[in-house]
Amino acid sequence: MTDWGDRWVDGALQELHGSRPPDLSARVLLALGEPARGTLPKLEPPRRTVGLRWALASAALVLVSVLTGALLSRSGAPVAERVVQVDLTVHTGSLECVEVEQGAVRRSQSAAGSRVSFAARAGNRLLTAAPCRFQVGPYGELATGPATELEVRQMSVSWQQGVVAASSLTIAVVAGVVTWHSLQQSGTARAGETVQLDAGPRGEQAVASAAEIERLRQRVQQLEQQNQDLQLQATRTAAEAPPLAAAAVEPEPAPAPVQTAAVFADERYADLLAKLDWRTMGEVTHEMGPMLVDLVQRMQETGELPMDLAAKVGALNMKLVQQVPALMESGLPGSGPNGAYTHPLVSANILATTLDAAGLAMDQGQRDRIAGLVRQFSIETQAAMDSVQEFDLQKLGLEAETKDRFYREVSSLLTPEQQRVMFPDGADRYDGASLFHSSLFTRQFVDGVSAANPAEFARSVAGDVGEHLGLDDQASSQVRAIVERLGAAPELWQDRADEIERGQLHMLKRGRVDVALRHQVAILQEIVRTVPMSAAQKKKLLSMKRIFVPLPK
Amino acid sequence: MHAVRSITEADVTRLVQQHQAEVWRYLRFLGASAELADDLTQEAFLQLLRAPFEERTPAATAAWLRTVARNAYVKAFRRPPFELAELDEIEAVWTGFAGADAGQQALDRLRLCLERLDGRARDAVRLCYEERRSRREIGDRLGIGDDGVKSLLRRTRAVLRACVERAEGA
Repeated sequence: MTDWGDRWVDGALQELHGSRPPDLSARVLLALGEPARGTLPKLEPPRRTVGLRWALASAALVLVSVLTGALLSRSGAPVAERVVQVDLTVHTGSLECVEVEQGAVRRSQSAAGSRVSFAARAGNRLLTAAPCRFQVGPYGELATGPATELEVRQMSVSWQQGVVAASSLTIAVVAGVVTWHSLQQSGTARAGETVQLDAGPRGEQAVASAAEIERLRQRVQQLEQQNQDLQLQATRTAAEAPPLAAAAVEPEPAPAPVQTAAVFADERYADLLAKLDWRTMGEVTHEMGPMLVDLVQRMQETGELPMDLAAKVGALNMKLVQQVPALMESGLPGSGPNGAYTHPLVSANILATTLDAAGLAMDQGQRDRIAGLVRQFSIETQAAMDSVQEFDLQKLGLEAETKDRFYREVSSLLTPEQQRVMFPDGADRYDGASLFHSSLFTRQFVDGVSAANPAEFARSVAGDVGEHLGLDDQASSQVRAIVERLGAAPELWQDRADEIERGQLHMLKRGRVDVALRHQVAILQEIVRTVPMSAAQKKKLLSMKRIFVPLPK
Repeated sequence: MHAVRSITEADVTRLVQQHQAEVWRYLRFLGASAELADDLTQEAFLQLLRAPFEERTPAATAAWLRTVARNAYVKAFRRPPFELAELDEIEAVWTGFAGADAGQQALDRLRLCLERLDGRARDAVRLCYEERRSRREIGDRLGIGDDGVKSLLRRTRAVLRACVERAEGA
């Protein structure tokens, strides 16, 4: 028999030493379906029969024209699992159809622009190796992620007087992710979820119209935003314009309309999104990304900071810095100004205009899927910031981990060419060399400590911590002993710091900060547990946000 | 009579944040790994939220979630991880420690009790729970065998448990 009291103490001890309950709210929201405002959308389980709703509406529905094949049965009752040929029109990417027919498996590949007929039989599958967007007969438009596999689970059709009155198609996401848009609904489903697609009450045309309406709605939003921006610009220009010269001057041709509206919206931050100059941020990011990599390479080659390039980077960076005041006022969650700058909503919009500047704009499917990621990771970022952690440093680590996961997931939706714009070759070697990495905001909290061994590292750190907390000599000695003992982990010392890390820019090798942060949390826990401190000192320690990173000599 | 209505994001976040710690701790108490506890806690909330939403009392919701989580945990094994006859004892021990705050107060007491430990007991706890050392490594450090480490840790936990219970009764 289990000693349950002992089990409780065991679990509680593990929790006191780091194994704590996570905040699962974002995860549960995600699992429930695409997060949305108000009532959550539901992925309904497949229906066994066509519902009353359809029976009532059936007189007005004629969908036979969009179903190119013949139905095997034409009884008056609703029919499930019949083989219906559905038209697939591939808009972008490539789609593979896997159909089982009389015991044989038939595979066919369809490229963008082609239209194929697909047997919507249970078990038949649609595969996309790379992102793909395609229209599924009257059911709506699907946009799939890379390595996505969809399987037909059920096809339900009802007949009225010899014509198809209504139908629904249930597909399961076996792998990957799919976003769908139809007349009644849109959303995202991931591996393990099912999606039920209903043909709209006015057939394919209505669905096409819905897609068109959505596109037009977005276009109207963009134009409204553009109009506001231009009005704002005009107001500023009028206010700042010098007095007119007496002589009439030939007016300069009006500049071409500038697209500055944010691609990814969030009504909570509408003011911020309208204030920022996304086009400039994209152009600067596009230009600056490769320059940062070049800067690192030239420092490696010469051992010195290339001043000409550093000046150019500095000038470009100033353009980004000009956006910081608006970011600071926005209330976007994040640690410090760069915390807001790396918020998923901001990063995604910068990425969109960066790709525009590179001539590799996101297509609508990518925008839709990334919009879903922005919503999901905005929630996760907020959850990370709101989470209850013993130390503020742990929140910082969680925020960084969340943002890096966001960048990875967004990157997975891009083409290889787009990925190279987001992450130029070599940008992943040093912190600060990529404009799409958490180090953009964590760097401000990092203290690189050049040391030959853990003892030297501990001396330096204990001095700083002791001074920060106002510890007496005895307590400082205790801190030093703890840092020396727990800071001796081999993974902190196996890689000697190179020229770049010791140089003026303090760009540390990617991964070094993560490891140091992990060990520092253990160090802080031990300090809290064993070093006598006043309540004020303890409070300071819990809220300390400096990450001491050993730079082995 | 329970009110049934559609659930919003705010409801989900509130419910999850109100109850997740208790469900997760309960699963860890039953013996689930941290990863399994994450998954099963999520599953329990999904079962709650996918049903027509009923606003219950916090205690009723917590009890419902624990039951769903426990069933899901049992289902994760080919053979039940504990005897059904033990259920009453499990619930009694859990509710005794969890109280009305998902066990937070008991955890705080345990933290204080831990500070009073000294000698080998304290070293054993540090090596086992903080540094995640194996029994053999702990034994090497403390100069005792595997069984000795096991006994030492069990005795230490018993001392800690008694300390928590004393503080509770105080």
